[in-house]
Amino acid sequence: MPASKRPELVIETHGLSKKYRDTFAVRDLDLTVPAGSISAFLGPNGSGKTTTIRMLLGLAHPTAGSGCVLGQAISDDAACIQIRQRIGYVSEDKRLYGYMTVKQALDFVRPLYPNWNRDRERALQERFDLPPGRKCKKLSKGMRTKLALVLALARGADLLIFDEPGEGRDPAGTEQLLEAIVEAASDGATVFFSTHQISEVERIADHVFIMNHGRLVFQNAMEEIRKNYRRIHFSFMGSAPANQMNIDGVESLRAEGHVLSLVANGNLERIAQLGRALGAISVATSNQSACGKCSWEL
Amino acid sequence: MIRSKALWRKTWLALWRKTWLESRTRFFGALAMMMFVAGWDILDSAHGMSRFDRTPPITFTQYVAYLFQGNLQWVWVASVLLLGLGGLAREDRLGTAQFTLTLPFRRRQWMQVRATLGLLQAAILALVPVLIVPLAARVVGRSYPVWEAFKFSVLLFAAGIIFFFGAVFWSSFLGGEFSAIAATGISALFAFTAQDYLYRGIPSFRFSYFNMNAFLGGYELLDRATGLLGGWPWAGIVKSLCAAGVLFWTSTAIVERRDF
Repeated sequence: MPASKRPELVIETHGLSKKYRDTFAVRDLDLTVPAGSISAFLGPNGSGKTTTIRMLLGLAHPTAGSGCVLGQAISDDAACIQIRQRIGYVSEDKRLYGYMTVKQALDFVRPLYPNWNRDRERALQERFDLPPGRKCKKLSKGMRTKLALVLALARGADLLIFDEPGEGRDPAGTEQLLEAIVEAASDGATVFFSTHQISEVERIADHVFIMNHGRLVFQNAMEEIRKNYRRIHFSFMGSAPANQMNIDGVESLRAEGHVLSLVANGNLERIAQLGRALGAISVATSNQSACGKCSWEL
Repeated sequence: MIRSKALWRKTWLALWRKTWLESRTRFFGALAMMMFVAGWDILDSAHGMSRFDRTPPITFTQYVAYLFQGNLQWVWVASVLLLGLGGLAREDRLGTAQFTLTLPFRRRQWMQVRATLGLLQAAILALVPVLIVPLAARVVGRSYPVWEAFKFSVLLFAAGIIFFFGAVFWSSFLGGEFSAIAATGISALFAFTAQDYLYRGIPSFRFSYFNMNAFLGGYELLDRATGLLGGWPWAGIVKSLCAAGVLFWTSTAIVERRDF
């Protein structure tokens, strides 16, 4: 695609790396997050998701590579201030100042953002039932998440970054959270969130990025994944011959006892034929394929 | 431009507000302690002075000079050490640094506001005896010049602010609940006792310069007969302020470079 036709990118990294002593937490990361998207950032614990987010926000300094957020270089101290003015961020543990009340926390953050939306603040505070006079240290984890969400969503931010937003929340709380995220996205904000919850990804994400061992192992639009990827299950009489399934289109596979499950990107007919040739007694193709790739990578 | 200026002002105000909320409990605790010690030692001066077994007995002004070299100095130093604790390393340990550092401020700004507010709080604490000592002296039927109390307080603040920046320095990389307190406490104790240890090691050398206790209380400038300060240790004050500046610069550099 010619450069002029490319959609605007809110996050763009080139060879971004972070090394702690001898270990790379993130290695050669080339990430492109289009404007207006809801992007899910998936990966197992320790895969480098949080380190990536920290580098994008200027909390950690990259060891190598470069990155731009909202068109500003993350290595530039002055630019980082402008980036932060347009970002809403909710960290993994959602800790807030224990010595402040909910009202004091809002009063502290509100003046820092020229686009602060007072109506949204009130609406969210009402929806989340946040007690203004309660100290942050007395809030439950669920309530802390809600306050962190109000503080992030009322900023009128162009980019919202959530690190494991659903962590520690009950189903009703998760529902409220997803609603709030979708609402913010419909107002024009780009959403970038890390998660372990495949169901959250399937429900709201339109782009998926998967990290493993510090590297980006997969990135694609959800629509493409839905269209192109299929999960196929083969059942065998004996052990599943995982090492013989070398054929174009197989993206990843997993053998569990007699069952061999794989994610295929095209070439479905030939993969099925090979399975039968290897002695499969049944072949099933799952229609719920979209996040099969994602869940396997995890 | 007007908008950005207004935003700039709001940003600084927000920083001040946060730093104040964070430190006010420690400050009010220190203020109460300082007021109590200054007030109690003067109200109890008859008993306090009688403990000095001297002939002729010590005068009230000499007694006040001893207070500035003793109780008032200890409480003030302990207070500024406490006020210097906290900051981003502590926030990192508590889990709030990620929130703080994603707000639109520079790390340097946080440090500047912390330092400025800390200096103001330390100055207020140092000025407590200026108000309390002459007032309490009247209550017990004595008098003490406000100007003399002010001189001791200014010396305490100017010479002793290095302790505040010492605490800021340790707090820039020690985030544990007790590690920064322990490190600042040990360094302060060393500063107060270094002279004794060094003197024992090399008795021929003059180590009075290392005696922080004497320096903060103006011991060498004190007129022994009247118990009043005879001048200002300018060289010492300048050296102390320079050392404080170096500690602050180093602390800021550490905070700016570290990952959170």
